[in-house]
Amino acid sequence: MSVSNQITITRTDRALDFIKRHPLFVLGLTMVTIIVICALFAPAIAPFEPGKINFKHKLVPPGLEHYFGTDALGRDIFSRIIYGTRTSLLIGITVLAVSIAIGLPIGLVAGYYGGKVDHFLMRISDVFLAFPPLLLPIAITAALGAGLFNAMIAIAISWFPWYARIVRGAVMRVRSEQYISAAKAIGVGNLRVMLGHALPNSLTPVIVQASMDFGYTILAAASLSFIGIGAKPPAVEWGLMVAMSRSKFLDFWWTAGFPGLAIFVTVLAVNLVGDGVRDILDPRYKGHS
Amino acid sequence: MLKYAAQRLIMMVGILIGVLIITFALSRILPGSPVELMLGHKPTPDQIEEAIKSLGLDKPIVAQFWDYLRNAALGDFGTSLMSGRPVLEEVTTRLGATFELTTLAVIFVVVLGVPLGVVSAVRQNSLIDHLSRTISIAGVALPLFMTGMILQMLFHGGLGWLPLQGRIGSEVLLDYPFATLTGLYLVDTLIAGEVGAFLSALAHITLPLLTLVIASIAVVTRITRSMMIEVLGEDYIRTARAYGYSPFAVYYKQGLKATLIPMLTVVGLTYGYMLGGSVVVEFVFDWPGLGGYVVGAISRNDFPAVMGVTLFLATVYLSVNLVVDLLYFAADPRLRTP
Amino acid sequence: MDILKIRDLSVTFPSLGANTRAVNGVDLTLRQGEVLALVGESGSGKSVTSLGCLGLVPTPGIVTGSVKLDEYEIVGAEDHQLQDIRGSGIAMIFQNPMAALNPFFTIASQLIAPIRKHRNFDYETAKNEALISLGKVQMPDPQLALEKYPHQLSGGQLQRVMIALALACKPRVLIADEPTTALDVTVQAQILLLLRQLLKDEKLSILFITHDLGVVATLADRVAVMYAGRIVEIGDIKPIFAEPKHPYTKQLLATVPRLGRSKDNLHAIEGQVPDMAAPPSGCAFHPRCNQCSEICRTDIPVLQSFDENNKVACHHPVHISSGGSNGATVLTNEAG
Repeated sequence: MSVSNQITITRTDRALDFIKRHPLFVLGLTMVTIIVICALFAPAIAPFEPGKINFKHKLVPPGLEHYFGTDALGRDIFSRIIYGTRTSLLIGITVLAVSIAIGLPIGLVAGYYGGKVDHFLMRISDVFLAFPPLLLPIAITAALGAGLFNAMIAIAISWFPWYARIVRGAVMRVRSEQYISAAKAIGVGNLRVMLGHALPNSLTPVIVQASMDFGYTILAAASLSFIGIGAKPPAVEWGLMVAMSRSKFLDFWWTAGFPGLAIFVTVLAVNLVGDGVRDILDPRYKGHS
Repeated sequence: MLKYAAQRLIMMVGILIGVLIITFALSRILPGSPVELMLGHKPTPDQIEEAIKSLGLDKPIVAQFWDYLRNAALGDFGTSLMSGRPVLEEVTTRLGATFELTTLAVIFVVVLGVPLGVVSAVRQNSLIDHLSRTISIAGVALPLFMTGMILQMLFHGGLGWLPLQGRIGSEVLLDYPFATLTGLYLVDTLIAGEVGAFLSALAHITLPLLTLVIASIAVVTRITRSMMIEVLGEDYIRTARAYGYSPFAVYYKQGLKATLIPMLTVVGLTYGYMLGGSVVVEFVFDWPGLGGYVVGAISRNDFPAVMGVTLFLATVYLSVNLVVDLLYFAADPRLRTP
Repeated sequence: MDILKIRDLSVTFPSLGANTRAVNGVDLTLRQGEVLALVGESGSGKSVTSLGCLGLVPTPGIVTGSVKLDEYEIVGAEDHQLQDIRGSGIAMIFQNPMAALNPFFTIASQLIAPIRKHRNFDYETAKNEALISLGKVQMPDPQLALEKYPHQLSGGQLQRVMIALALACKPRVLIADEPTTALDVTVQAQILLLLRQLLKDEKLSILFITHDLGVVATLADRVAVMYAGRIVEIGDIKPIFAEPKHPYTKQLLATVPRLGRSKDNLHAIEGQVPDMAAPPSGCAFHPRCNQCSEICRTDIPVLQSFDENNKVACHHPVHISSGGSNGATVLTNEAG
């Protein structure tokens, strides 16, 4: 018998090895978990009402009572940031859901039928991609009227071509697989083949892309709020908070600094998770080490 | 080659029409009708009817679109509701400011980002690599407006070195007047020989430029890095090394040429990113360009202006991509010769 | 005269979990003017061995042992010193000629630059030399070929270009890493014929790496059989083909289909090539060997001579006198 050199690998070993190999992903995941907890339990975590105005305490620097200070209306910034996590997470989920809802069927149809249908659909998405980033959301929001909901729809509409493309690519790859020909040869209908085979295969790249896009959607919404067409008071949104601090931020840095930091940390965390998801799920990616 | 260019041009026109369809559709789904917006105060039914006729809103929708298309082709993007002047005129006066800012930004990003990416790829896992990757990851997460405001806090509020906003000191325009020949202040002041004005323009452009550069250099470096890594794994790199090329010659001569071609696409995308980013950056720094104009227009419901600028910038972006496509064609021998 | 001496060459690729020993103590000697074939399946380590001869093992790999070209030690040498040897000392031609040349440069620039460097010519002389070389490899219209880009030439033509490049640098040793594997069969034959011709004309010493025994029979003087990073049998070609001593060699030869034999007997070697990150204990071939015994599982066999020129690494080399139809003779003309 050959000498057996097997070592039992415990689940803890596997977990530790995973953490060692994907440290940034785990870090991001931890941060995102904290953010989600803040969003879910905001009323319990936030010491003050986010909308509570208190002129006597306006523009107070960070301290023991108000951890992050107060803004020009005396509202506690820390509480507003905690409540802002809800908005940001909502934005990310909504925008991506709508974008995928539009892009997925388009990509499926384009990839599956190919030919003229594909050509036509791809030209349409080319039109959407012809706009520099943010401009189309700005135009759409201006048409629909300012507001967070409209801004989210606008961003989602501008973004769907990416998902259409991804799904289309995945479907095309699957289409050339032989088992599709086999299924069709035995008479399985087009729709069933599409839904049964093509769709599941396209989910992985979509998930990878969505996890990487989450951060971008938050940034886009914050930018739109910042220039005044996104979230409007009394909504609690970090970009809006920065916008409202613009006249005073040079002397009262915390009114802009903490919301900005919140955006940064959230987007960073989500990006780390997204990168990790991509590294893990997409074996073709020859990225860093 | 010519055939390729013609094909691409036709495609671009097709896409432009699509863009026009979108802007047209958007302008027709406004919550307030264009008439009310234009007339402002509560208009009488007669005034409304007159306005509808003059705006051509009583025609069938297809005819309206056709008018719209024809006008756009002739350069008529409508009239700004704020100023009463043609949108095209508003655009051309502000063009230089945006062009100066975005073009300089793209140049800096490419000149700084590409070598950084190359070095990162060649010396993987070195200090430079880790440093640039960390900055990349962080740089992508910070919104443009925050970067801009932080720079303002640092360099103006804190150190007082650089001006807060604007394109040039207002006193400069009085003391050191110069002719705007190109619309690029940095160039015009030098041509006019007004050093004081030049320095003021330089000081004013620094922070907005820095903001744009910081935001996108991360992305460009990362993309260059991964493209270069892919190229370095190619067989022909191994052949070159097998015949005695030094690592330097291999990377920077053979490898780089292979990377530069897909880099063209990156440059095109970066330019697009700059155009989009200029909206926020110009707003933060009160830069008198198209981006700032759009923000002002939105807040005042000047819809023709918003649409006009959007259309204009989309056209510019498409043109840039067209040029990139053509350059691609010229640079890659596999496309040029059958 | 021994021109290339490889002694105890090992290449290890460290990785999380287990290190992969792609090459495990290889001894080889290439004599001047001969063709030594290095045979093995994919994953046996033969390509890595050839890269080790040029100091071109990809970065995470650690190379130990010795590779000497004449008296010059390659393992551990500084890169800038090796740059002179690469091409003019040892020239290498690779498996996939379509990928081996830079698609963004003309054939001319890719030939002329190394020629200028290694032979110290100016541009015109180097260009001339390139033309001469292209003529030697029977390239139709060398002048035109120089101006083309790689994507404009066929696989066979590109391989000729590679051979021309190698020749023009006037190397002491030519290492050919599966040069015909990626080509069509007819083109394969052409290239092999060309190599045979050049062998004589240019008096080359060639280390020829392949998994194709037919090719070995056509070109080689000696053959070394590699398995799991080790040489398991080495020697003159006729005796090894006639009476292979190592069970692996024997099985390899038996897998070659032959005219006249019954079609039912398509022979395959049982089992699979070992995972080099976790190789079997003792003799790496033992799981697949029908002569396996206790000692095979524990002790690694050492290369030992069994006659003047031939060595085998096996605890139970197939005995010369065990008759029957053990060995397959590729060289004898069975068809009659």
